[in-house]
Amino acid sequence: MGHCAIFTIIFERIPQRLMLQLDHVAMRYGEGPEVLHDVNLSLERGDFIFLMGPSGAGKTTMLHIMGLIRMPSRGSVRIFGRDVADMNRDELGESRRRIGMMFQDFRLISHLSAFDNVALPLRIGGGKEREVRELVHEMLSWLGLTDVIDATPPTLSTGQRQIVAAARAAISRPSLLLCDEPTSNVDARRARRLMRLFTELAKDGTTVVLSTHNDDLPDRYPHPVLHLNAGQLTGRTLPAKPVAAAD
Amino acid sequence: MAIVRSLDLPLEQTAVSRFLPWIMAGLLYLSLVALAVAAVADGAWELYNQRSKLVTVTLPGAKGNDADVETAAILKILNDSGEVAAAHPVGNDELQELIAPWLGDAKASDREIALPRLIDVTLDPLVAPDLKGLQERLRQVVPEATIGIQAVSHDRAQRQASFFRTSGIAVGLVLLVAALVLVAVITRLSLTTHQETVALLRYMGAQDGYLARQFERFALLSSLRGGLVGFSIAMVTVLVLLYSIQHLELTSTIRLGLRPVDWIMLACVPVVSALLCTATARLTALWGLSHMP
Repeated sequence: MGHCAIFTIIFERIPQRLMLQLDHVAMRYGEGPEVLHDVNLSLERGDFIFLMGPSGAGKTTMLHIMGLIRMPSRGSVRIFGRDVADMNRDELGESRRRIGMMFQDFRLISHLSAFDNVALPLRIGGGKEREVRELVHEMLSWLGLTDVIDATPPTLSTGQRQIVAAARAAISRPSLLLCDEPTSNVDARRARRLMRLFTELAKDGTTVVLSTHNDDLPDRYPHPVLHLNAGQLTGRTLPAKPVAAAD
Repeated sequence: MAIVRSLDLPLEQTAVSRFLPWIMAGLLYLSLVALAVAAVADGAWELYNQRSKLVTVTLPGAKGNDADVETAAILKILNDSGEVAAAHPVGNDELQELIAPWLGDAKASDREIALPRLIDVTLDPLVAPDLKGLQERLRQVVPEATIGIQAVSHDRAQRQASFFRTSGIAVGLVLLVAALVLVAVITRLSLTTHQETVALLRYMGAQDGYLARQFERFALLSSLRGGLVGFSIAMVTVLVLLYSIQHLELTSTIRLGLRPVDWIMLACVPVVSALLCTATARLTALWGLSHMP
């Protein structure tokens, strides 16, 4: 075994605190105006933050950059200790498998059942089918979706689709969980369930970023809030003492 | 819950790929029939090839010691010839049997008919025979000696068999290649049709190998399903054809049919074509994915 391989193994065994780092990140779509300007952000293992801002502030774009779905027009993105610009296609795929992404429009695959949609990240990660079945059943039953496990997304309500999307993002216990408006369509009880799921994941070391324009969430949960306005991070605040949220 | 896992990409439900199993069934059906024709023709060619190595020497009817001396001299010339592998005079009983349809139960000797003497000659397959030269040498002993060459009619039939064999193989292979091209085209089109889902799976970390397996599985299932249907119908067709050609004039000289090895080879065609389709789908998908952003 060469020195590089030994170094890689040792390096990988050292717990990495820094999960994600955005340095002077800017984004523009085609020839259009910049939708993100000079964003700097560092997130550590187990961090839980809210990303807040009005519609069009650039929250989704920022999440997409964090989720390695889009590359920034300027600046650098380091994730899990590596610069994204230096990653080849396989390494990019490897990093993406450590990220759970919940899209605002859910992006469920319409011909697959709720079960198969949630199972996707596990199967892509090469999970054994028996374990996949166990984990997905456990997750969907915990989120109260056992009765629609075989239903396809077009037959589900918007709220149910949102929960399936959240379950899909969280099922592989990712290192980084990015959720775009995760509770906007679900009832209060299910929203609390989802938030509890995200909180438990963060306690286990997952870095969680929730984008929302719902002021109620940061008021209820004691996590820092990043304010994004017109493509710029304008502040970082801690909420007041949270309201106790019953499960 | 479904026992067979769905494909992540909706390949079975999109117009571009939905009919692949049926198209495969049609192509495989035609290909199998063509290959079966080639196999039958190959069997016929082999039989004609063996028969063209057999000739009959005919000597005019004669009786007594002179006949035996002539026959012995002719046999010596034949056996000494490098072109002849074996020469056997046709026995009297066999000769009687041959002419029985014309004379009925009465023996030729009863009617005092001088029967010609026949000698079955097997030519050496490794030597190109000079039958005219051989006949000249025989005529130096028995001036009326002839070498019965049925090879003329055999040659024509053998050429036909050769034509059907070559054509059958060519058509069968062209159809199989067409099936592979079709799989490649459908894979490429499906990749374009489902690029949003492909992108979504990539966002979840799916590597090209994982995505290519989707197309690979679809091609395997489609070609196996289509292959089974095509094979079943083709076998029925082949059996009907074989039954029918027993009544053709061609079968009066040889019996046409499929040898056991032919059946085995035909049974292998759907399996081999399914494997080739699978490999084609995988390679096409990998190539297409490597060209996608």
